[in-house]
Amino acid sequence: MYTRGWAGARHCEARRPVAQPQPPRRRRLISSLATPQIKPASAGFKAIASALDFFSRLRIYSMASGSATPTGPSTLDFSSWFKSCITAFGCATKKGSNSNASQQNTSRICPATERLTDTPTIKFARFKNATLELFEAPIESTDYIAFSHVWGDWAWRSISGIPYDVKASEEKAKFIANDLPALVGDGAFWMDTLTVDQRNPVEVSEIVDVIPDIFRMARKTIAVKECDGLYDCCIAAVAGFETANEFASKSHDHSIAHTHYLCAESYLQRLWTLQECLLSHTIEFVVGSDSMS
Amino acid sequence: MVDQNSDQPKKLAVREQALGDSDIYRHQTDIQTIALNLKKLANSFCGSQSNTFIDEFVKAYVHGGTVVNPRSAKRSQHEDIHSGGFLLANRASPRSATMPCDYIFATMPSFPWYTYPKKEALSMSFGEIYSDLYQQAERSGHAFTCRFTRSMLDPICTDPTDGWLPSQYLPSPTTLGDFLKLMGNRVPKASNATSPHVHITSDVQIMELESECLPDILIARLEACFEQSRTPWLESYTSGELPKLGKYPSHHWTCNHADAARCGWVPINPEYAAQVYDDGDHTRTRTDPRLEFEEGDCLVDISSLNETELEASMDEAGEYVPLFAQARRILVRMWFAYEGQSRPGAQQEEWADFKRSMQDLWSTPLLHTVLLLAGMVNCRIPLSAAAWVNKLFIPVYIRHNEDLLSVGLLAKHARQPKQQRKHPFHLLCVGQHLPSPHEKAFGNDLFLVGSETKVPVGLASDMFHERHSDEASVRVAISLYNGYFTDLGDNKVDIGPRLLSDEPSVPREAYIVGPQ
Repeated sequence: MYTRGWAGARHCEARRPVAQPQPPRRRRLISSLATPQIKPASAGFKAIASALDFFSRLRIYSMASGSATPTGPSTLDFSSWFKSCITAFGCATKKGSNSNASQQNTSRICPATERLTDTPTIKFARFKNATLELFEAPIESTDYIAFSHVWGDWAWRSISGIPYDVKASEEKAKFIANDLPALVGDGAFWMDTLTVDQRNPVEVSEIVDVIPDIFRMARKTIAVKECDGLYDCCIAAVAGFETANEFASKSHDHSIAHTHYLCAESYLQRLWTLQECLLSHTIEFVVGSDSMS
Repeated sequence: MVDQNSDQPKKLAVREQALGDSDIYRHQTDIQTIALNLKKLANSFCGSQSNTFIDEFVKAYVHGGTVVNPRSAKRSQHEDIHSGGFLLANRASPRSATMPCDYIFATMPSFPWYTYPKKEALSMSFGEIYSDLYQQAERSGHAFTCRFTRSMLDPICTDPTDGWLPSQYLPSPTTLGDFLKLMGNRVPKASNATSPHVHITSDVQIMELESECLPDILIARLEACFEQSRTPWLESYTSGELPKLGKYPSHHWTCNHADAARCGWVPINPEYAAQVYDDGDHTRTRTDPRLEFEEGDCLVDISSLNETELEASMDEAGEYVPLFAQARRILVRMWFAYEGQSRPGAQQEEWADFKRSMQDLWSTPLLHTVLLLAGMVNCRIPLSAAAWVNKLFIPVYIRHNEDLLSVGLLAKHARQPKQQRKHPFHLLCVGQHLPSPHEKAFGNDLFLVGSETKVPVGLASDMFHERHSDEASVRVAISLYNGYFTDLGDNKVDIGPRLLSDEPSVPREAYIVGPQ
């Protein structure tokens, strides 16, 4: 089974003396609002896209439609929610027609989509009225941001604005609730914990094949660092460094301040984040605000 | 170690707090590791670009910012894991993933020649995925050498072609570095006994650890290994692999009966197995140093090797420092003392003090395990596979010529039955990279091959390293290609190795050397 790794958060706690106060953690509020941009399209794609209203062919799964709307705090799992969204989509598109008509409608869409590109169609996410919605679209012709992160010490969690339980660490849940909407605005994005049904091993396994394309073709990759290696005091201690060697030297001098604390930068310790970085052409490094209460 | 079916978070081994290794410089190591890993990431992302670009990457990471790579992230048909220095940069990488298969699935699908086994991925073992990768690489012109062949694990696999294929029973990697160590270097075609690049470097004498070996002799031989194989030792240390179970060996350590039994040793005089004494308010149990061991006769079921890894990870918990941990820590102190030779000081004193404390306490299992781990580092085998290797291989001295003695690993099944064993005996040391100025892997990926079957039965140390000077390279080449070279002087040597396919098959008995 393909499971994105979990980082050393629990490991860290084991080595951190219980009685010791936690060192100050980073609280960098992310303020940049993502503005959707038009992705430069290939010549071949442009020719087709100009003739077709591409976005009309996207299959959209929205919680706003009919019976799929949850009635209270999310207890729905991703799979059942996604299935109900498909039902909602069918109702929305066929407009009173029978199911056969719906199928015809779908089959009318697919060949055109396949003609557009050889790259696969995957699920993306976006926020609409502060609620996450998923939609399927071809990778090559979608303007989206990809997220690179480590799982940390995950559990299934309910997060405001997300209509299903999410497999995430406490810190990542805070990031998704507090920071993610501002980073992506109303634009499309791909983040494995939100756009891949983590309870479905087949879906989790199949996405592995597509991950190189996902990060290669994203408008940019946002790399979400954990607050577990470079603390505020570390950043202050290396202020003004100009070279990688100077950073190493200043960090070394500062290390005495962490005699009792583990400094393990999870983002630099996990395998998948290496691949995600190497496949990206543009990487923006951020940390979560870590301030949800 | 891994549970392929569970959907729960995997708890990491708790070795750090369990083994009680009080490393007062841990904070420095942590920070150095962050700086090193960050620089490696920057290097890998920026490729051959200038240091300024790497500096900008580090700044963006630390302070939060954006970096743009003008290079295309799309891989071409000609690229593979060996391209662009990726393997060299990450061979010591401590980056980890949850599942062993992730090490292949997080690195290979970016290459257009690799097809992800989408439908079967969920049910395949790591060894099966590795074999599939090996075959795909061969078919698409990206063949590489494997480390553990079928013939090394299965005594009945003596086919000169199939015997060279990777075994489907491989140790599970725990880091990216582990995985990359399981991948050898590029070769023109997959190797087998008739490949035009598979050649004999020399006939070598194989010797096991003597039953009455003096620790000082073993230590002197291992220090010679540090000299020959400095690069893998340095990589293993700086990546945190070697000191992972601690840096400070326990003084006055004796081998626990149960621990030794798990590692395949049986007591000769079990009456000394436990000694109970009262230490004030506490009654403690300690093994009597007079307890001696001999190697047990255990048959290994290769289909249950995963359980070996599970056992090993369980051994890491508890107050008693297990045999593997003590042996590893001894190698750390030994390496420190060796590295600090040019500026004698605390490291040498500490090492000398340890040797004094351990006088008369060295047991055969401890010496054997120290040699086994040293052989693994020499042959670039991940130390996380120590329990696995211990079940299937024994450490051996390999005498290439009078000047060159290395430590390697020999499959247990390649030895004669216990009562018929004679030492030394001969094997062929076989290379897979022909001597050439353009062959970067020359002198590496060396196998020990049976002269009768022509299939690999063991691993020899990598002999050539990036840091070797011309003079050192020639010296090693002369020793390695003992009898198949012409010294041209001026640091030049003409090597004319024999192809393995040209070698007549020689019955094993003819290669046993008589008493000397």
